[in-house]
Amino acid sequence: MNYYETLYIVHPALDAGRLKDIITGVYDSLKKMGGNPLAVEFWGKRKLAYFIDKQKYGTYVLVQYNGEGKCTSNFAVELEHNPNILAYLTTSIEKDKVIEQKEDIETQIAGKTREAERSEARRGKEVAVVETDIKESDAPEIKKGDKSPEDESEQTDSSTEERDADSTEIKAETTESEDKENDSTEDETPEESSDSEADKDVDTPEENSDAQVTDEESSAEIAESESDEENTTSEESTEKESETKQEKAEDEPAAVSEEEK
Amino acid sequence: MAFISNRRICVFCENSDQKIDYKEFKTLRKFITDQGKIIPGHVTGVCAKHQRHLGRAVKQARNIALLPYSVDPRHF
Repeated sequence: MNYYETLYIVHPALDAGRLKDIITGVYDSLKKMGGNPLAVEFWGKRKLAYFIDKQKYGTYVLVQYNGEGKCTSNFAVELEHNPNILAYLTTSIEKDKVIEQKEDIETQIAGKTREAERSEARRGKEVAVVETDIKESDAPEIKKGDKSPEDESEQTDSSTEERDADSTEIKAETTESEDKENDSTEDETPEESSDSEADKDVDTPEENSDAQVTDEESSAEIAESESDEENTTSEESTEKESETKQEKAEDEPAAVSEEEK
Repeated sequence: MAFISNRRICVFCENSDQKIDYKEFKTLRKFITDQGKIIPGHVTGVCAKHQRHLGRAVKQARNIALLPYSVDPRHF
């Protein structure tokens, strides 16, 4: 009579009721094979070191028994043909290593399931606590947000007033700047208008070569006039040049009319 | 001058209470690498006798998925 122990892994998808049925079924089959079961230890659901039948987790159950050598081989065949058992390992042990079973299988399964439920509940509580912490961290912001519309309205009022004040100041500044710009434009406009008139007058007779020459001359004069404008020292010379342009413009249409004739 | 020997004593020879069993995979984890290989005795200081027992226990634990056969080093 030798002592053996078999550790087998049950499919993790089974419920507590079906798990109990399977464990009792294995227990009965061991008895049929001629073994004498001494102890059953329920380890519970554990993560496997590697995937077995595409399963990441498994429920470990340890059975210790004594019997003849044949019973182990028959028991191994029985476990091999059970689809709910993923893997099993049978080893021979000494008599000293036999465990004293204190609790029944049902109580062990219930205890392990309770432990699992507690652990899950703890995890759930931790998750809930984390969520509540997150909500609390968000809540004051929301309260601030509730208070904020009034504050925001007040702030907006004050800000709008400030903005209005700023805008009035800006408007005042802009009006001043516009006035300055207008003054500067008014200063510049007469010369520009004279130039524009001269250009208009010069551009009209485009067909004549004389007109082209006059265009070149006028462009050179315009460049000179612009340089003079920048310098703003020889204003009198520009006036004279504008007068000459006007005279030329008056002469050119006459020449055109003579050629047409 | 006192003689200090570098020779280590086997852990299992020191502590007779500490037994080698495939079910105690937490203690066996100390004698395998991160890849799942069995560390040789001259590295861990385990004697030849207990190294044989360790090797057997590790292989049994691997068979029942308590310890991995191999771990991809890219997953560290």
